[in-house]
Formats: sequence, structure tokens, C-alpha cells
Amino acid sequence: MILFYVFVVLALVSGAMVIRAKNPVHSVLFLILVFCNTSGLLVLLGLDFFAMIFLVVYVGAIAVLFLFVVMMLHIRIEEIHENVLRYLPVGGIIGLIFLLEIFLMVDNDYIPILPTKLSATYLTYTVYAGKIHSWTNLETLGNLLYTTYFFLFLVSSLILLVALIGAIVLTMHKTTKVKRQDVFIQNAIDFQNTIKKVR
Amino acid sequence: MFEHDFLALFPEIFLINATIILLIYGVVFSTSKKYDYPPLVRNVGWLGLLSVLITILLVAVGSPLAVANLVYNNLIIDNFTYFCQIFLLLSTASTMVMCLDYFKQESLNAFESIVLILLSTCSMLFMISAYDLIAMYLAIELQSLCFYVIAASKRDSEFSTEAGLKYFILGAFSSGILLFGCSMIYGFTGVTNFEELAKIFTGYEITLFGAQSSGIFMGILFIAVGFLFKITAVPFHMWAPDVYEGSPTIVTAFFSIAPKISILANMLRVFIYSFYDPTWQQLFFFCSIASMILGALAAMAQNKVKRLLAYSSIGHVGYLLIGFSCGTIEGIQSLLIGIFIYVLMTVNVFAIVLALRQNRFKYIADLGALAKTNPILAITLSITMFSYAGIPPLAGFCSKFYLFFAALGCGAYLLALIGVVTSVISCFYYIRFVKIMYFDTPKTWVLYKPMDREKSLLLAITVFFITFFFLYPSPLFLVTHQMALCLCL
Repeated sequence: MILFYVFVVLALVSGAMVIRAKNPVHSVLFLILVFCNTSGLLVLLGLDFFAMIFLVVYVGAIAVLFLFVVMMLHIRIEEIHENVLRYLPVGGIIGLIFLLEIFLMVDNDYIPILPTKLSATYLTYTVYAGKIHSWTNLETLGNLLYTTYFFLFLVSSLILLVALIGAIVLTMHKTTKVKRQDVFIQNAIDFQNTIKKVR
Repeated sequence: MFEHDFLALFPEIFLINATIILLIYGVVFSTSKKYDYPPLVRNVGWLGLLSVLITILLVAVGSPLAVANLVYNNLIIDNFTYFCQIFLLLSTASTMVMCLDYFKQESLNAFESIVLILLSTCSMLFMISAYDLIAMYLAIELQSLCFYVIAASKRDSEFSTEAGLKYFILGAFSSGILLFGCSMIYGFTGVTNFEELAKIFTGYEITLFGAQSSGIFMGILFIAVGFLFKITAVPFHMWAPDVYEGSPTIVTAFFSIAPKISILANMLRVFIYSFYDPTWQQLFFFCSIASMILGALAAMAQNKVKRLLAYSSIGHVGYLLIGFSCGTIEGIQSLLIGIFIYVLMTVNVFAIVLALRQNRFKYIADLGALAKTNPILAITLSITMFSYAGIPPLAGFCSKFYLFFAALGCGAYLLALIGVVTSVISCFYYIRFVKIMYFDTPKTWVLYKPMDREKSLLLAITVFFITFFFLYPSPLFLVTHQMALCLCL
């Protein structure tokens, strides 16, 4: 329980810091912290696979992409001094609507099982607790993915192969005019002689 | 599981393996200093053609399993998929025959595009035999990913890059819409398998305002929109002319031939087999009318060949959707006949477009006095154009005749009427080709290079078929009837 509060507080604080941080690089780093804490929360909920995927996808790919973009864009820190309160009404309304929607959704039954009305007297109890055969998410997913859905798994691997080929085809130039980095020459450069001060 | 499934999937497995071996071969040898960086396009092209032909053979010889659900109900094979796959592979093979010479003339040394064409062919095979929403979506995604890359494959041309980017962005939207529809269907029914969906939807009336779930209605609507996007039916056709014009001509040929077969086959499976219901019929009805009208009117203003062919393919999609929106066995049969003849005519036209080149055959006016310089080619092109327009003894007339007949048979008189009117209008721009070839005297006379032998064979076969189809059409009718029965029973 203590762990839960630690994760929640850290996630909320760093979520606020994402918005408040002056330096965009810092705010991306805080975003990564938010993701890490949220995946901790997911582990506490028993969703181990989700936690893993969350880390891999969001931290491993998306946040790093953001970091690259932020570094490339080269934003001056001094230029960002806007009034935060300007965005408060719009953001607040959107946030309130979101909260309301969540409260509407919680405890709702989306799909009625049958359109006809059943009287409850027919129903008898089944003790499901005795029938539970406990598997973790990872085991279940592995079992399904490599047996029942192996075809889909293979087709998705082909999709990744096409993405790979496509990226190479569209970006690699085979002509001689292209400037290319030769790793050996790059490593063999003498650092003393590369930059000189001209008087 | 293993002995049956792998036996039945042997053609697909062979094609994937051959593609990957070709890829490795190309990568290893095109970067080898020892052989002085050879351009492998022609080499890989011939090998790819060979592997497609072997795949046709493997499919055609057939496994001992005629009807089966494969890999845990993810795929199905029956008569419908059997003939569709053979037909698809034949059309891919004809595209590859056309591209052998093209890459050499354009000096486009990208053997990867042949590998990508092979991979997309493979995905289209899966798409034809898909029997599950997830398998269907993955196959469509694999196909479109290959297409985005080969649309942009001519990197030094701005048109090609633009076409690739445009196709990518719009295609991503349509895939998203399709996936959203699939997830709605899954959310409201709990199944993704086509057979189970068909069982759920028998006798289940999907109405928007009725007591039943509107989520299913929305799901079907979204899936239909996604599909219509992919086959360039009218409200969702915006990308087609630009993409068709911008991509390299061989890629345009591939785009307007192969995916039409696979996506229509998949649509038939989804809508006729699984969601058989009058609600989507109105949507296809509307799209069919709109595509026919736009295909006829917008093509008149074009003076570039590829753009005109793009609009003509939009119009033909409209005619094919007539058969689709009937929903009867005759409708499906006429659709299948229609797509078969459409593909043959399109192969023919693109072979001619690729054969005519001084620098590039881009504008229609470049055809001037072709009847003097190359009379045989002129006759071929005019036969195909007459067939596109639907002049009686040719094959194009038969396909249109059966489509309109099916529309009349199910009481959709409006569809048949608009179809006849628009095909009369579209006669104008098809016959304009003939007029330019025979009666116009150009300012500068152009002589075209002689075409290669592969293309001439292709032209001869397709023209022979288009001209003499009316003498002996019964095999095609029997085959398509069997395919239609396979879906409906």
C-alpha cells in the first residue's frame, strides 16, 4: 500500500513538472519518470505484461524520439515565458469533461448479455473459485501467441520486415556523391589537429 | 494440424521463402566489390517471375484439401479462394513481365521493388483467404505498407515522392478507420471469426434506430468505408489520381491491377458471407452511382494518360460495385466476370503505355498518328479502348452487360440506367484515343522504340482474349458461378 502511494505521488508530481519545467529536455525526462511510475502501478495491479510493454514502447521508443526532436529543434530556454493561466480555462474544461466521462464509464455494463429479460430465479450458483487455474499474463499471452495465433505472429513479423526494407530503400543512396562516414577514418583522426585557432 | 495446414499453405510458404532468398541474394551481391556492384534488377526480376509462376503451379495443382479452415480458423481455402489466387498470381506475373524491360530503360536499379512486389503478392494471397478480422487486417496492412514504399521508389522524382507520401498518409487514415470498425465489431459481438460473425448476423437485423445495437452498425459502416477507400470508390477516391500519376508507370500498373482483385475478394467474403444485411447495401449503392458518374465526367478533362486511366479505373470500380450492391448470386457472378475482364484490359493498356516510349509517353496527344508509325499497336490500342467503352462484340461489353443484367434482375433499375448513361458518356474519351491515333496529324512526328518480346506476347494474349471472348465465354461463366455459389451457400 505504501508502494502504491509512493508511485501515485511521484507520478502526479512529475506529471505536473512535465508542464511546469522551463527546459523542454527536463520536461521530457519528467515524462519518462511518469511512465516509469505508471508501469510500477500496473505491476501492482497485476498487469505485468502491460507494465513491460509500457516501458518498452513509451520509454524506449516514444520518449527517446521526443528527446531527439527536442534536441534537434534547439529551443531557447529564455524564450519560453508565457502566462500559464491563459490556458487554464480551456484545459480545465477539457479535464473536467474527461473526468465526467470516466465517472460515467465506471461501473457501466456496455454489452447486455441477452436482449431478453431473464428472471433471476432460474440462475444457480457455480463456485468459480474452485475452477480457477491461475496463469500470469505472460504465460497466457505466450501460450496463445505461439500456438493459436502463430499465423498472425508470423504475418506481423513480415510487416516488420517490410518496414525495414522500406526504410532502407527510401533512405539509402548508392551513388558516389553521398557523404558517408567511414568509421575507421573517423576513429583514427587525431583530435589535436582537427580544430585549430586562427589568429 | 501440421500435415494439413502446411500442405495447404505450401504455395504461400514457398513464395515467402523465395522472396526472402531473393532479398538476401540481392543484398549480398549488389554490395559485393568483387563483382563490381552489379545491377541485379533484371536478374531478380526474372527469378521473381519464375517464383510467381511456380507458385501458380503449386496453387493450380492444388493440395488434396479442397475446402478447409487453416491455422486455427484464421484462413480458409475453398473454390473461391482457389480461383481468386490463381487469377491474382497471373495478374502479378503479367505485371512482372512488363517491369523486366522497364527498369532497364529507366535505369532504375532497385531490385528491392521487385522483392516488395513479391511480398505484397504474398499478402494479397493471405487477404483472399483471410477468415478472421485480425488476419484480414494484418494482410491489408502488409499489402499497403509494401505499396507505400514502391509508390515512392523512384526517389529522384518529386512526383513519385509526393505520391508515396500522399498514399502513406491517406492509407494510414483508411487503415485506422478499418481497424476501428473491426474493434467495434469485436467489442459488440465478442468474436472476430467470419464464420461466427455469420452465425451471429443470420436473422439479426442491424438497424441504426432500432432496438438492436448501433455499435455493430457503426462497425460495419467503418469497415465498409475502409474498404471503399482501398478500392478508390468515389467519396474516398481523392488520392487515386495523384498517386497513380506520380508513381512510376509500372507501379501504377500494379496498383490498378492486383489489389483490385484481392480487396474485392476480401470484401465479398466479409460483406456477402459474414455481414449479409441490407443496411450496407445502400452505402454501396450510393458509392457505385457516384463512382460511375465521376469516372465518366472527370476523365473527360484529363490530358495525361495515367490520370485518365486512374479515372477510368474509378469508373470501372463503380461498375463492379453494381454487382456488389445487388447482393445476389448473379450480382457476385457478374462482379467476378467484370473484374476478370477489367484486369485483362488494364494489363493490355499498361503494356501499351509502357511500350510506347521515346522519352516518356505522358500526354494523350503524344499518340498522334500512331496509326501511321505503328499500325499494329494502334489497332491493339483501339480494340482495347473500344472494349473499355463497351462496344458490342468485345469483352468489355460482356462484362458491362452482365453487370447491368444483374442490376435489373434484383430490381435496381436506377443503377442499370445510370450505368448505361455513364458508359455512353465515357465512350467519348475512350474513342478520343482512336481519333487521335488515326485522324490527327501531329506537329512533330515521333518514332517509338520497338518493344521487347515479353510485352508483345502479353499484348497478343490479352488482345486475343478481348476480341474473341464472345465466341466461347462458358468456361468463365462456369468458374465464376462456382465461386459465387461457394460464397453464398
